[in-house]
Amino acid sequence: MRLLRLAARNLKQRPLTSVLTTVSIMFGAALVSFLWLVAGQAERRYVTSSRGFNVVIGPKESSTLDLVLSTIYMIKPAQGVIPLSVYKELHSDTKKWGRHVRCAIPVASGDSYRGFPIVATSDEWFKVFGRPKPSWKTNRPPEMRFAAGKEWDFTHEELLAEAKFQEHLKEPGGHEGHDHGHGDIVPEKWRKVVIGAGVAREIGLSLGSKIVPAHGVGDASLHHHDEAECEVVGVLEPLGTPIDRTIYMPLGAFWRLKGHEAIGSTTKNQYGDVEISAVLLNTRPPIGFQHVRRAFGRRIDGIAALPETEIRSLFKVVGNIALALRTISFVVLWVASIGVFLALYSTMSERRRDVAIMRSLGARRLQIFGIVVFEAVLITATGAVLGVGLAHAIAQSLSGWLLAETGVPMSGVAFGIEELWLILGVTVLGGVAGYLPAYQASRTDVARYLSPDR
Amino acid sequence: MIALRDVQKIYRRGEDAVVALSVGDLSVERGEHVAVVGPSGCGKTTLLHVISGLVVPDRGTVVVGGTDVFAAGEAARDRFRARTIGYVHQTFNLLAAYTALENVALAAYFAGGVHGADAGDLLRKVGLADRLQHRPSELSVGQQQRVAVARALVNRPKLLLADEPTGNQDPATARQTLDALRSLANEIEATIICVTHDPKVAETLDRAIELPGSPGEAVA
Repeated sequence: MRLLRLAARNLKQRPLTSVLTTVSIMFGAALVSFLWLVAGQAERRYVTSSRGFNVVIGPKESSTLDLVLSTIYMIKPAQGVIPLSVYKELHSDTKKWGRHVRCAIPVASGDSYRGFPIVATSDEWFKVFGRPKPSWKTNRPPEMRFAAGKEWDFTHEELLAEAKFQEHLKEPGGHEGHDHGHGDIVPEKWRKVVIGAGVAREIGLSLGSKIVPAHGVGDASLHHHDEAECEVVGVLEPLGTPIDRTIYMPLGAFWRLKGHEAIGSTTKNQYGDVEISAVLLNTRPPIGFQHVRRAFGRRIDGIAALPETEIRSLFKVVGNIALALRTISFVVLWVASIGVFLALYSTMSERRRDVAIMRSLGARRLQIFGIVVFEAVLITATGAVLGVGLAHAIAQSLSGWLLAETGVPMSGVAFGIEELWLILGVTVLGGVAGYLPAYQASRTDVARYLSPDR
Repeated sequence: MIALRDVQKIYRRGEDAVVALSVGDLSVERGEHVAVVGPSGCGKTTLLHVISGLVVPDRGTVVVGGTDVFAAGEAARDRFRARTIGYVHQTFNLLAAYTALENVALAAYFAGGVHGADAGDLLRKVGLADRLQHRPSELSVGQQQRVAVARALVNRPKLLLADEPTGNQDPATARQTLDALRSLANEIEATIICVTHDPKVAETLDRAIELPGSPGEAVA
C-alpha cells in the first residue's frame, strides 16, 4: 500500500505528463466503454422492448423489419395498411387461431402530439395485453400499471360496431348526413388518451390535460385535428420500453379524425373493409409464432414479422459495425498505453538519482520495480475508471436523443460486469507498459548515481 | 565489529581497468568513531559503498557485526543495509519531492519499520521541529544536513557511514553537524565511519584510517 502512495507521489511530481497520459487512457477507455454500452444496451433493450409481442401482422408491401420498427419501436412511419378483417379473424376465430394465439391487438398509427407517436387501439391493449393472466408463464408481456387515472373504454364490440359504421361511410352516398367538418364528429367518450410515463415527464402532461393530435409523425406533421381535442385520463407507470413514449387513443376516435376516414380512401378498398396499420399478437408457446408465420406466408392480405428475430438480425449487421469500431477503440487504447510507456521511459534518466537514494536507504530492487509499475497502473486504472464514467455520463446525457432517434430508452446509470473487465484489462495493460521502465529503474547503478558529480 | 580482508574493486571500461579500492586488512571496533582520510580518488566513497553492500568488490571479504556482507544474496544485502547501516551522503541526497518528515520516514519504511525511532521525534531532536513539512528546497544547507543525519539514524543502525558530512559547510555549521552526528550515534551506541578531507574533523574522532594514495591506478 505504501508503494502505491510513493507511486502516487511520483506522479504528482510530474503533473502535466501524468494528466496527459491519464487523459489519453481515459479517452480510449471511454470509447470502448461507450460502444459496449450503446451496442449492448441497445440490443438488450430492443429485445426486451418486444417482450410479449411474438408476431406482428402488417401490410404485405412493408418489409418485416420496417413493420417491427414502426409498430413496436415507433421509429418509422407505418408503411401501409391491412384490412380489419385480419384482426377480426385472429381475435375471434378461435377454432382456427385459438390454439396458437392468446391475444390479438389492433393498432393504427400515423398521428402524433409534440413529437410523441399516437397509437390507436382497443381497450384490450390495457385490459388483456397489459394485464397478462397468471397462466401466461412464457411469452409474458409487461404488466401495465397506472401511475394515475385509468384506461379509456373502447371495447372489441364497440370497435366492430364502429367498423360497420365506417364501412357504411365508405359506401357511395354514405357520407350524407355525416358532417366530417365539425368537432363533434368524434364522440366525447372517445376523446380520451392514455399516456406513457415518458410523455408525462417530458412534456408535463397529467390527468385532465388536453391534447390536440397532429396528423403525421415528427417533422412530417401536417395539420392539427382540432375536431378531436382529447383529455388525458390515464398515465402509465414507466416500463423502460417505447410504451413510455407513446400516447394511446381509442381506434374509433382515430377512424373519425379528418383525413383518416377509416384510414384508406373513402371508397371501399380491395377487401371491402376498413383498415388498420397492424395487428400485434401474443402467441401460445411453444410454436404459436411459427404457425402464424407459416400461415401468413401463404396469404395476400398481410405478412407476419417476428420482432425478436428481426431485431437479432438487425443487430447482427449492426454488430459487425460495432465490432469494427470496437477494434479501432482498442487500437486507440493500445496507442494510449504506449504513451504511458513512453512517458515513464522518458522520465527515467532524471529519476535515476532518486532511485539510487532509495536503494541506498535499503529499498529492494523489487520495491523500486513495484513503484514504477504502480505508477503505470495508477495512470491506466484512473484513466479507465474516468473513461468508463465519462462514457456513462455521455450515454446518460444522450439518452433523450437516443430515445427519440431509436425509440429505446438508454440508461447511463447501469454498469455492466464487462466494464469491470475493461478497467481490469486496461490496468493490466498499464502494468505491461510499465514493465520495461520499472525493470530499468530497478537495475539502476546505485554507486554511479549517488555520486555528487551526477 | 567491522573487518575487511584483502578487498579490491576494479572498474572496467572496454580494455581499460581502474582500481577504485584496494584494502589489505581493516578493522573497526564496535562503538568506535573512525575517520577515513586520503587523497581524492583513493577510494574513500567506494569503501563506504562496499561496506554498505551497494558495490560488490571483485575480491575480498567484508564482515559487519559478524555478517559476511557478500555471502548472502542481493535482497538480503538490501535488508541488511536498511536495518544495520545509516548513510549520510556527501550531498545529503534528500529526495526533492518529499518533505523532511517523509524523507526520514521513508528510510524507516524501507527497513520494515521494525526498530525505527519516530521520524518526527528525531527531527525535533536535531532542531527541525518547525521544518517537518518543508521540502529540501525550502531548507538551508545546514538544515538539509540535519535531515540527512536524522534519516541515517532513524533505524537505530549499528553502523553509521558518513561521506564528507561537513563538506561545503562553514566551520560553525560543520561543528554543529558533527556534534549532532556523534551525540545521536552515542545514544544508540553506533559505530561511525566518516570519510573526510578535513583534518579538523578527523581530529575530533577516535582515530583515522588513511587509504593509500594511488588513485585510479591502471591494472591492465
